[in-house]
Amino acid sequence: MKARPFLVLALGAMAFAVVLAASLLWGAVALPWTAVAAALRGLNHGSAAYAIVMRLRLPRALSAALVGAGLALSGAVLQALLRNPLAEPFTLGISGGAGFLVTALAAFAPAWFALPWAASGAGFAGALLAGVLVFLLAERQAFSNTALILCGVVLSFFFGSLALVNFVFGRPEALQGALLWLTGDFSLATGTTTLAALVGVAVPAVYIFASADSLDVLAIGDERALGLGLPVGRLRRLLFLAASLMTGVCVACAGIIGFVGFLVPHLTRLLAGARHRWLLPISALLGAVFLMLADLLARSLLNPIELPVGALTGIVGAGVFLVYYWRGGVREMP
Amino acid sequence: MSGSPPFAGSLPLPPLRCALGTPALVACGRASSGGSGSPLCSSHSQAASIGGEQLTVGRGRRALLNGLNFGLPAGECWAIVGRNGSGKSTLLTTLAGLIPALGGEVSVLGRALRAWRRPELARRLGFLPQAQPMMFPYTVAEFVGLGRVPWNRDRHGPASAGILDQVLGALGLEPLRSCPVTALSGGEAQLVCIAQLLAQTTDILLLDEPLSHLDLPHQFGVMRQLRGLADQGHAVALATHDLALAWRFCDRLLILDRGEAHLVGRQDPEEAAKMLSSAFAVDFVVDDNGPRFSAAVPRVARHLSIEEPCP
Repeated sequence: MKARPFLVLALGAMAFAVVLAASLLWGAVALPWTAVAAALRGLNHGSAAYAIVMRLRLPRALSAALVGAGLALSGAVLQALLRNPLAEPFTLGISGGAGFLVTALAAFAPAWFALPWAASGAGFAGALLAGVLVFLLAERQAFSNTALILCGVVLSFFFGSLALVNFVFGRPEALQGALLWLTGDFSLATGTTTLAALVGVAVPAVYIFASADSLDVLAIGDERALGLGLPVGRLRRLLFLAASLMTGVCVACAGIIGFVGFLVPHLTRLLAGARHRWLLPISALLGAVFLMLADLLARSLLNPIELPVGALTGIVGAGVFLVYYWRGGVREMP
Repeated sequence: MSGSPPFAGSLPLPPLRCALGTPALVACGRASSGGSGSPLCSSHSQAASIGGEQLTVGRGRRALLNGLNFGLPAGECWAIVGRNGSGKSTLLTTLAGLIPALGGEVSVLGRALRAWRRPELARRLGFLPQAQPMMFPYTVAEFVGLGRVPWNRDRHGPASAGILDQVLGALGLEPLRSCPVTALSGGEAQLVCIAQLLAQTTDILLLDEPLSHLDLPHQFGVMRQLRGLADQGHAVALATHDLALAWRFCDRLLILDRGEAHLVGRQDPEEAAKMLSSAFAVDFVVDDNGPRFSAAVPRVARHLSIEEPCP
């Protein structure tokens, strides 16, 4: 019925396929497409190409896609709930909370930090704790206040400073791992972590997609949402929980990656409008493409040096935002 | 302003009453079927669509209006007037069930407000809050269409689409249909919010300053729509600062004056003048043309201070 969102969705799907293929072909060594195709079909188990594609590049690309989709979805939900286009896990301090807990674990319990999944668990817990804190702060301001974004920035600084304090106390080798994690990293992705990310992103996503029409109403204001018969309090708690869980999974999987949650929903609104039934799936798709591309660039731009993907998204995101701002596109923002 | 007077009856806004003869609106007939709303102030014997009994409203613990008894019957349009901070918005917000009454009871269509489930209430009672900034670029049609949420899970069903077209046409918003609401002027945004409320097709419409930001032709246009809805059998109450328009289009004024409310009908201009003079600290005369102040505002200076400081 609506041509434009369909078109964006179709182009996004094509971009996804292209970027996924590029992620499998390119990297430290370029593989011929015949070798990649053979590996995907399960042939030549013993070959190096098979190991590179199936054990390294495919999990890594899919992890990046899942995390990109998750972060973009969380951003879209948080923006609607807080009625603020600047809201996202990073600007609200949710990612910062995760960073604090991971560096604390690395500094004060290096033995535990070395355990598998320990950093992920700490990141997940930190994101959830910070999420609860942000929720309580938001509730105090009736969920609609630009000052809340300020609160989030302050929280981010606070957690960032605490993380720096942690660095003073830790042993360098333990902290090296934490630093890698803080800047966002997909190099440790395996089939198992990718599967975990899939479950962790998909379960909240189902609830979020099912609530698309409610998000439309929530985004126009509490009084109208109540007046139109929505159970505003319950919806808000559950959707905020879903977004925080999703952020927690993304952070646990890849560390701290900023700007995706802010940039992608915003771009999607420009391309496909504000209706959440389109905004949510397209944001998820474009978020996946964006982060997969960012990871591909991060590992192949300065080959053999690998850039931290979180730094790359920050640079690209800030650049895009500044161009957009310069051209006057931010005027309608509060 | 140039050309012919803007209220010459040649408004671009056709009255809603013929356009909106849909089954959804016929349901308002049930408004007069019994109930406990006691129209103490109203001289009507009809049962009230929405009313208050010993109603005390306020924000937090601070009571703004005490012990109100009133009942707004179907088919009437009331204007709620009073000075800044007199409790217009608080009263409307309480009647809409968005903040609790500090005392007494609100009844809606013969049932206590507390007893209504929200999704059900949303089909009977619509409330337009004061203007809020538009944050996300919904198109005008999408934004107005959200008013259909209480009625159907699928807002694109044929019935809703028809109502959407009628409302957009009635308020002259058809040309803006696919504009993003974030790109509208203040007055256009206000019209879009009113259109969303009309699309909700409720028996009772409560509007908090629906005329703010609107130019004169649009003020007239909106008042005509509201008057038309009242004539169709809806109950309408709006808070406004425009006494002339209120007098011209509404059946009664609910005048809020230092914690009390006085209901005055159009048939009693002398009483209206007395109450308005008391409430606004300006001497009013009320004649066929509506209220206007009689002298060179001699009493204003003495009364400008806010009655009660913040606790």
